[in-house]
Amino acid sequence: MSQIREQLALRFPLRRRCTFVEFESGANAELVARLAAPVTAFLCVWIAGDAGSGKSHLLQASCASVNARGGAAAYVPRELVAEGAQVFDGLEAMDRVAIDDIGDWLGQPAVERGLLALYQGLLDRGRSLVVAHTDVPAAVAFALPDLASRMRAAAIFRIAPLDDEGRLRVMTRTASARGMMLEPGVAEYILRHGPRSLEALLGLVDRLDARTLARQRRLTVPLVRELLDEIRDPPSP
Amino acid sequence: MADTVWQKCLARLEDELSPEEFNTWIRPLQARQHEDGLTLMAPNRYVKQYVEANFLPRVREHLAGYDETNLLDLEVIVGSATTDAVPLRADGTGRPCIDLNRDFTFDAFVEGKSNEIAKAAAQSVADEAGRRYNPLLLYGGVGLGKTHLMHAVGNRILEDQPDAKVVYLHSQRFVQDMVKALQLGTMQEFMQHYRSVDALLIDDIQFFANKLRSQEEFFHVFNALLERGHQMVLTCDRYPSEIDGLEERLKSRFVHGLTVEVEPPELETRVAILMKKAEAEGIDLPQDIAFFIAEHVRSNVRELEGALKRVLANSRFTGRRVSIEQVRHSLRDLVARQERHLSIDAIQRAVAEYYNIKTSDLLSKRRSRTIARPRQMAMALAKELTDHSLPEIGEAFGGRDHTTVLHACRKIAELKATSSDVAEDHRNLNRQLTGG
Repeated sequence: MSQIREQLALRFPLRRRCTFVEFESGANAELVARLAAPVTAFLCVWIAGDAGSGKSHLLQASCASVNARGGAAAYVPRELVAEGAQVFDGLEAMDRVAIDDIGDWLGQPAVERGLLALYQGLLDRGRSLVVAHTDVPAAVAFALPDLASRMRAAAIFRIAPLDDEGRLRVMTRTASARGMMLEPGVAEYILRHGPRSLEALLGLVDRLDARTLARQRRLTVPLVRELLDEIRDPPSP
Repeated sequence: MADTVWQKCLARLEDELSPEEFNTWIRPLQARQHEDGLTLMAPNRYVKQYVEANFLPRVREHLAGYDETNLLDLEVIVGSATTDAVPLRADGTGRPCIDLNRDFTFDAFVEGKSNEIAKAAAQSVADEAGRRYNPLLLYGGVGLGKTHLMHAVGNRILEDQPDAKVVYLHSQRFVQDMVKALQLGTMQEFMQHYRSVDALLIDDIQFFANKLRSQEEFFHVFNALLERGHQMVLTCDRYPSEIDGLEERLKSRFVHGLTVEVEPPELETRVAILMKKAEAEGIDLPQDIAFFIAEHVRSNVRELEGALKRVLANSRFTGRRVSIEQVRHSLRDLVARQERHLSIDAIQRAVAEYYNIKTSDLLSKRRSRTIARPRQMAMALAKELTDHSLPEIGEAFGGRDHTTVLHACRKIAELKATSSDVAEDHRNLNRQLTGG
């Protein structure tokens, strides 16, 4: 019956923008400042962080900031791993190259030689390389010692997770962008009972948006509880 | 105008595509408008093909919507608007010239027992370029300062002969340029360029391995320069005879001049390096802090300098004075990793695995050389890499006396100086244990 009452929610997904403005820096201010600064000399930054901690967002934001200054930037996602080292050809002409999940590229000497050549090309031109991994380079196995020592000499940052205050700010901002009012009691309930990962938290906000729209109801604690119960114990089809 | 049109198009594409798609395929494109239309430059063939197959109709559609671009031809090519930013040689060959790093001078090179011979050799070569030792080959592990010495030779030659054509490049760059020259049919120009230099500095020649055509061409360049008495300086991560996939004639030519090994710096040299680098940054680094960093970063100079840069950058950003606490914070991953892993147990396991024996053999009473030598190596490493006392180390090796440990340390130090095998084993294990 509730399904009959629900309005069909025509969802126009809010387009995510990966910029520094959308990134809640929290204890990562030094990293954000380093990535946002204009590139005046060669820079290699290694970002370590758990899945869902915002690494991909930061890499793409760093490309956007270079682009906004009129520079050229390339983001290399893990989806291109199967293409091998050819993906890196010519990227040394970019002002910034950002390689996500670099661990997926490592281990094969031919690919690492391509990465080393890219590193040298960027170094020769005074450009910048930003890479992301779940761990710091000292804990990563490389096939080429030459690449290993260069990566281990990079500016290495481990992303510090957001505290509740930071998570609240992100959640409120996201809800507000969706035209949803997040009252303090509801926000507190979500923080206490919702998922800890920021990515999952924002997924929850997405689903709450759809649910409030479908039900034509405002966001309340019982509605959040209902959705969290469904997530934990999904109804059988 | 191209920017305006392209910027409008970019704004629409950014709204339509996922951030990943936009950042991977669209952001690397650079636009150039000319009389006949708009050219989008992709960094490589792979991006070009993907953009043509997946986004070109959409881009064309957007551009058609802008009045001023109705008549534009649209094409995607491989190229870059910023390639020209790489300095081109003034000799008209159009070949990129990678400038020498002016900071890499002999004065800026910190000398210690591990590298004093290499520095003296490089100075001697620089003072009598092409006349004394040709080529100079510097070899040793990664990040030990070979490139620094190579640039220092180049800088000294330029000081003495400001008009000299001194070319520095990484061996991979030589290979890449040669492949391009082959594709463009400009091999003659390519070869002429390298044969005409006064000094050629090639880094990491181990990357010539298995690249037969590159080896062939480099062999000719090498001979031409040698005949004319033009100086060559080469670096390699190992002695050339140990490089698989390198022609024998090249191996013998590379060591034809003077071949010198650069070894990892000992603690005092690492401290001196840190203090000198900090001084160059205008920072007065207290000695205890330099020791603290040097004790935690043992593998090579590059990583040592990387650690110092992280400490100084953090200090500048936070406004906190450089202190042990601040260093611990800046290098927390590195410090925690070392403190977590570098137990005597970990050293015993690594040494046993390296020599293909059992850990229990190291603790046993067996005195055969195949067991005794690894045991001495493990004891020496335990003394170097942990804070344990000699009696504690002896205890951890099956309850041995501290004098046995002392003897092991002395024996390994002696063998490192007389046996290249032992020296290499020590270097490899040290690197493995300290994350180098």
